[in-house]
Amino acid sequence: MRIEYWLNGEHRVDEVDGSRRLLDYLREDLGLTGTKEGCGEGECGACTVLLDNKAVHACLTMVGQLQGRSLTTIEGLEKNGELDRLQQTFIRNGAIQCGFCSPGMILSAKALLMENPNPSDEEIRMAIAGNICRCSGYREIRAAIREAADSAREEAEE
Amino acid sequence: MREPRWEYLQPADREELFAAMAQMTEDSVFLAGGTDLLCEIREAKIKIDRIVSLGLLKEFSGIRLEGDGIRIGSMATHGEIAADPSVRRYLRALAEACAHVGSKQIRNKGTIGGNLMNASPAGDMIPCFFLLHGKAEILSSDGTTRFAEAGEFYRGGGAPAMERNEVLAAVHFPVVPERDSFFVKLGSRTEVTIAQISACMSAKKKDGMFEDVEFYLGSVDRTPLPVPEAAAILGGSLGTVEERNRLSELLSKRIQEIQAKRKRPPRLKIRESERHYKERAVKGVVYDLLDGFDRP
Repeated sequence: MRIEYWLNGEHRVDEVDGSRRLLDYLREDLGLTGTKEGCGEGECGACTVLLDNKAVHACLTMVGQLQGRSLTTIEGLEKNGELDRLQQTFIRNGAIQCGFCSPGMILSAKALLMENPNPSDEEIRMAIAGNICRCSGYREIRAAIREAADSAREEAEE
Repeated sequence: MREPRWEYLQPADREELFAAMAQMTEDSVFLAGGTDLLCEIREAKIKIDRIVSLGLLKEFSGIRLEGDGIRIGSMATHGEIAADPSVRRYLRALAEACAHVGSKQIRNKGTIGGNLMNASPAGDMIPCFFLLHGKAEILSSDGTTRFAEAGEFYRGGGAPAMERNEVLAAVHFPVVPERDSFFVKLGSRTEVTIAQISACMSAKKKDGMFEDVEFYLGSVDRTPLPVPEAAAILGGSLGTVEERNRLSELLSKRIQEIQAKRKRPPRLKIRESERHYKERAVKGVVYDLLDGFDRP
């Protein structure tokens, strides 16, 4: 089938098998391997991508479901050679250990900050409840999200 | 492009939907959010020849106040329902249930229609569907619509009573402004958890006292368990410790009876240890529910 959608801000038309898993389409057909496969059943959050700016599992999405919508993968966060604020705060806070959960974790955080630029600590916890970090570096991850939110607000106030 | 494994149809209006439905066989499935279907496909649990996605049908989406009720499109996501101001105001139990389904990722994609159609004993929408007197709006491929109340919808005790030429378009709930409701569940962890017991209750409050209490337990049987005795226990009171304990004991007995009265092997497998756990844990659920009900 023919689908039309936006991939990391660019309009795209593609001939696809609508029932193919979005995760396989991204990694194998488009070579966008930033999106990771962990459990394959919506438990771990490693494959999190943004559909119309909302976090969803690429492993539980069929390509046909992209029709007319906007998809953001981790590759889409870097703008003009500069990492997204969240990517920078993740690096600064040591929130990346093995790195496997990082793309999904960062995109869940991105969705949160787009919806709610000033989240409470509890809201940060809830937003990443579906993202498992097996290195268990949650404290640094929460600190990185906190810093991204706070620094964006401080800059806006200046 | 690789050879597709299945035919994938994505109707955008009624005409295309009816044409797609005409091609469906007993091995064809509807795709709502996909959060359960893709797991089943992965586990190779089901044989599929054709997938009909309902994602582009506008009349299946959205939440709106209609007369003295609320229509929730079957494709409305848990996240949309939990955030909707009318649902939060008039159908608080449903908003609570939706707010705690799975993770953020699941709530952004899973739908009320998918939850009701899958009919998992642990499906959190189902006790609310009974409690809040929901009606399923069922569209047939001949263009006619019929409505089914929860008891009729689940009359078989498992999968919804629907024909192959029918599809769930929406769920309607009456608005009763003087009524409030609440839902809680107990799982193995606080977030991203599957209910081992859920409970929901709806009541009016007169002079601070409960009136016309309705009560259901979920996840303990194939379909939600009505608890009509709750009306007498809680009615005309505030839910004192003594009444909470009495209700807990009653629920504990009802859970014991479910197992005892079964003549055939149960379709919902509950191990002996789980049953013992649920009999005791239900007391905490009753306390959580009544505490939650009192919070604005």
